[in-house]
Amino acid sequence: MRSKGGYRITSSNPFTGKLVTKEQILSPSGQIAMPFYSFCDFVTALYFNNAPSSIILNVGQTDTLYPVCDWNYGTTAAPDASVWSSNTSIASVSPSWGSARTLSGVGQGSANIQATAEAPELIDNDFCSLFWWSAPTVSAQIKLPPHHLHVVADVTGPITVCPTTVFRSVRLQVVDFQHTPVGSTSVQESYLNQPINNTCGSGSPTPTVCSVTDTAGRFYDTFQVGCNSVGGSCGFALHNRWSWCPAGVALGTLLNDVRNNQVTVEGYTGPIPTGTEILP
Amino acid sequence: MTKLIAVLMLLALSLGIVVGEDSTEAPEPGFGGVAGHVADVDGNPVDKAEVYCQLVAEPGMGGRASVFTDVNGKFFLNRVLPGTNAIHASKPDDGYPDTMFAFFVKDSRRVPQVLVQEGSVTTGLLVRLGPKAGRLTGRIVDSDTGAAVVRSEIRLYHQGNPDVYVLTAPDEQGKFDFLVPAVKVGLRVTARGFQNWEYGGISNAAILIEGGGAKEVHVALKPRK
Repeated sequence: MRSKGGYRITSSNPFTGKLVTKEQILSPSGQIAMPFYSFCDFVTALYFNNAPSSIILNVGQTDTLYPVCDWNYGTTAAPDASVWSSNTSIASVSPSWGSARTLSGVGQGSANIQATAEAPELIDNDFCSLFWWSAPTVSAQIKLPPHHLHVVADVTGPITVCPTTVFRSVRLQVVDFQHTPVGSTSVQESYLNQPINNTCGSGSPTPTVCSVTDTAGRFYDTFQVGCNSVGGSCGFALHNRWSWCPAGVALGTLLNDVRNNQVTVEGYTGPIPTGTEILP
Repeated sequence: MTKLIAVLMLLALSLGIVVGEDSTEAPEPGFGGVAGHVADVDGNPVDKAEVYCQLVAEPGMGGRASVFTDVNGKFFLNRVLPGTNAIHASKPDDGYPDTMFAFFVKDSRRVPQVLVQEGSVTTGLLVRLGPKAGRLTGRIVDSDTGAAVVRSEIRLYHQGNPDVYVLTAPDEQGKFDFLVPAVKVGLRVTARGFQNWEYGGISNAAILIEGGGAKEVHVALKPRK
């Protein structure tokens, strides 16, 4: 049990507005040592509400962090908390006050997002004293945004269910402007030449709606006219563009000539060399 | 009426559709759904197999909406375009190649086809994988310098029917790693500025790798003089 001494006043808790008794302890030498509150509300934790331990953003993207305190009576926003980034050239936090702080991706790299707040803590189950609380650090990884595509594989061959028709599967990967894979992202397809005249009589293709890539940012772009009774070199020309869904940013455009017996992609009747860049 | 039901059941079975108890969700708006499971030649479920659909008689372009089987080999495709679809599966790491390519499939009837309608779900589909393929690995280099020849074409074909083939390219180190069915196949490598290369040279020998087996091939291309 902490010994008490000094003087006692009644005031309001600066955090809750409730009336509390404030006492000032005198040290053995008679100096004022520390303030504390009795019968006060106290904090048990400071943290970012619902924030993962690691946040991944692209440069230019933002996320919102909510600093909160767990009090003995419940959870409240902590608008007074100081929130800062370990490297503001990578990630920044604003504003300096408020229940919601905007985390912005500034440059490529990693930064730690930290928060502190001064609030009462319970001491010895009896008294309260002001204490600097720290929230668990959130790691912010800032990546460059998707920029263009790389060819990672290209396979052509007759289709099992109609072997006179050729199928081509080009596997593409979304990369940033430094040619680094961006990881899982979303892409969608559009056609630049309309209408499409399919001389095989097997209808028109449909562009792919927004779809998630695999964890490495890879996806397939496939080409075939479909099983048909015309045969030979029937088919159609198709210029398709892949875009990054959230921002609608064009990533790569492919000029294709899709025939029953051969598929030409970007001028290649054979496989496109692995690593070839596909630009918007 | 009973005869008609029996005929429909037989037709479904012949297409690989088995009436089952797969639990399904609803397909996405504008699409149909297909639910079923993937099994190996012994009937054991294959987990983590990639499954996707292909419209048979219409142009199949763009992205591939695929799903992976669960631990019981079950899958549910919820974005299947209405029409007759072939359902393909693969698990390359375990020796099961993509059944889309005729090169890998001995009997095309093993690829199930399903008539999908918008808003409805076909359940109980069985997709068989196997037998397992062998693995062919190697590297393509310049015979003079030993440098990788990245800009080269690799053609693997059934030796009894060269029209059944796959045409592809090595990776950025000139390496390749392919699954090959357990049939006699030929291997031809071509690259601009180099003489054509054929496995076995003038004897035109075949490569035969038993299922689950492996073979490594070193391809040294001679520059054209």
